Amino acid sequence: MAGSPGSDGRCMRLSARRRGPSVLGAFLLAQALVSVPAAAQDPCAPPSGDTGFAEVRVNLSAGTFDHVLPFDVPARVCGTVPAGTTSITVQYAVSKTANLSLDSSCRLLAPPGAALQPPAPIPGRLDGTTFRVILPPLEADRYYAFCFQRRAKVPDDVAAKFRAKARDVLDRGFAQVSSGTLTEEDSRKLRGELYRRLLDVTGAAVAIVDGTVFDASPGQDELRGKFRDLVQKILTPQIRRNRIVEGNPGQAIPPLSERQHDFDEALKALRAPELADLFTRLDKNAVDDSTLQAMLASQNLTAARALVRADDDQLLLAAQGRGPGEAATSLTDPDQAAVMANHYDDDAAALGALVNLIRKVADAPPSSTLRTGLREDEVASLRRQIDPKGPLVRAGNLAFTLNGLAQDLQTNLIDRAAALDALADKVQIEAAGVEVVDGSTTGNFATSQNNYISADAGLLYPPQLKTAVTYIGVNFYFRPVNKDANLAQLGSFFGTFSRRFAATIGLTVQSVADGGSGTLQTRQDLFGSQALILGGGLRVTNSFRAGAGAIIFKQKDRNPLVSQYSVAASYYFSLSFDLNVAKAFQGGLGKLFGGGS
Amino acid sequence: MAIQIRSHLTASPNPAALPHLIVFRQTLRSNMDGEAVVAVFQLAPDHEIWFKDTGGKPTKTIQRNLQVSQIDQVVLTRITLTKGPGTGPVTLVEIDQTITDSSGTNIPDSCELQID
Repeated sequence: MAGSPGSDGRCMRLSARRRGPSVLGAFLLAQALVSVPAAAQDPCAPPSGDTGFAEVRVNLSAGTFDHVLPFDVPARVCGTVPAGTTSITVQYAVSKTANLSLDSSCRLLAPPGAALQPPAPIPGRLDGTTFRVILPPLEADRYYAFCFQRRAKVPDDVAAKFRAKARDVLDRGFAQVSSGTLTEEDSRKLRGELYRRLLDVTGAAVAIVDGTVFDASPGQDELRGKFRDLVQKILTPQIRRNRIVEGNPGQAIPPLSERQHDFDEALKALRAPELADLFTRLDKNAVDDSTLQAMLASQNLTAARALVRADDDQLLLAAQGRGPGEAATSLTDPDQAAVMANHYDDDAAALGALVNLIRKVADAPPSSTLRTGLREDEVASLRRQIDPKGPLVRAGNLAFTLNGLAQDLQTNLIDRAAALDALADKVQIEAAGVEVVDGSTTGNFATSQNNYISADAGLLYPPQLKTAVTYIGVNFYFRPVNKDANLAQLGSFFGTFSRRFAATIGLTVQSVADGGSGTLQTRQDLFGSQALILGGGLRVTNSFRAGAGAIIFKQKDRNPLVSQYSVAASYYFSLSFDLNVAKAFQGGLGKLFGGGS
Repeated sequence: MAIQIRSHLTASPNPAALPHLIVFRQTLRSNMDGEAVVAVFQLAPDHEIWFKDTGGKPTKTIQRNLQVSQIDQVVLTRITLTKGPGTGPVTLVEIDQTITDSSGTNIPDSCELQID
């Protein structure tokens, strides 16, 4: 966004003057009174009196200035920043073309070759949430874009919010680590992701993370440094968990799913007819045997009877450590692992109770109610079920093993989660110590593009006319000039020549005509009682000018017999004060000279 | 029969400067009293850390026979670790353990040892 090309530093002076004490009457007095409370509330309200700076206000959110940028004078830029800001700096890019462009991250997009300057950013002075920064004199006829970089500590509430994100990053990041050791590459990826999430949460463009867990620069690796033990506390249970769930061919460890499949196959052996017949026979015998009734009604034998009668789907659920209606177990959730462990524990107890029952039946005397009605071949068949390598024992062993593995899985998941929590806490603390850098850029602002015109009033002396007269004139500079700028500070005399030299056109205030009182008239004024002056001048100081040129008047023909006057010129020297027309006329006629509002 | 790991394998002292006799400790439980199990300790093949067998020779795999009861039982296994051929220096070594119960079922455990 370009600034208004018709304005320059003069406009600001006019504004300041309007705000200051004035004799313009009650209106301005009332305006001044009304403006006091507003100024008191506005931390960037310009101070009264001459500060020596052009006061400019910047809105970092909008990326705008409230004035066209002044040139040739240092500017004091004031703005507000969010609470928590610890420092602010500014750099700018300058171009003669209007295509100057900075993106929101302070990267120069155009024109090619443009660079931010000065190389060392200009520090601002921070007072609470108000900052002021002094810009060096800018050049006229240029386009400027500014990059304000704000540093701020990460607020505690933001760091707390970040903790949850960090834990998520760590959880998913470590899950990708396949070994028990965090490699340099693994660590670099994790720290990079943590850094990106930190920027997301803080909304910053950059964070100063030197020496922290977010630092991914070469040779810096706190995940493998000061946080190594915590990282190991995550990876060790993770590896154990992975070995349980995924197995490890190198150790001949099958995956959990394979063990569950084996268990399912073993449970199907429970549907042997001799087991169903056993329960049928025992139920009959128990009618007259309360002790047997109580035994069969025990929790474990009730569960065993259910397994014997279960269909394929029910056995599959049991093999997977699930109860009826339970969803598939999440192998990353310790609570679900605990539920699974409980189911396997129940199965192991049920199968153990069934083995004990069969052993009692097989060992019981034929006259016992346990054996009544059972043939010897049926007893032998039952004995095969409880053989150390028989299907019932195998199913019981698998249930016991799966119970242990499920408990182990739960423990590992809890340990890993606790270590993740601890590391996330540390990362939160690190985040709270980080300074984030927030870049704010302005649009493309132009300094004055108009040449300067000023008024001139002084005394001129044309030696040939032998009379000194006052004059008023208008000076035309060939470049924009800021009258507030101290010429001495802008460089050498020759270096500031273009700011000093102006062409002058004017009229004398007094007549240069002669004659009268009995003397012969030899010249007349060019216009009525005024002569025209055309010349040039150099400002010796900001307002004092020395000049020379030609004074144009009418001269009588040298032939005394001819009474005609013709236009003539004579050189002159002048001393004058360079006045700002716009200032003198307070924006009225000043527009004629200043060319802007 | 079958066994369960009740508390995981740990190594002591940890960290250790090698060669050093390391005591591995874990708690096991069986569903049968006096179950004979085999514990195999294993190191990654490429690095410089080795076990020392009973003959003093370096090896990457070492086996111990254990007896496990039906109640939680702390099992201590003493193995000397030493440095030998392989990539290094290694600051952290993972020791994998496979326990095979009497029915042939394998269950995994592991621990890390920091090397001084």
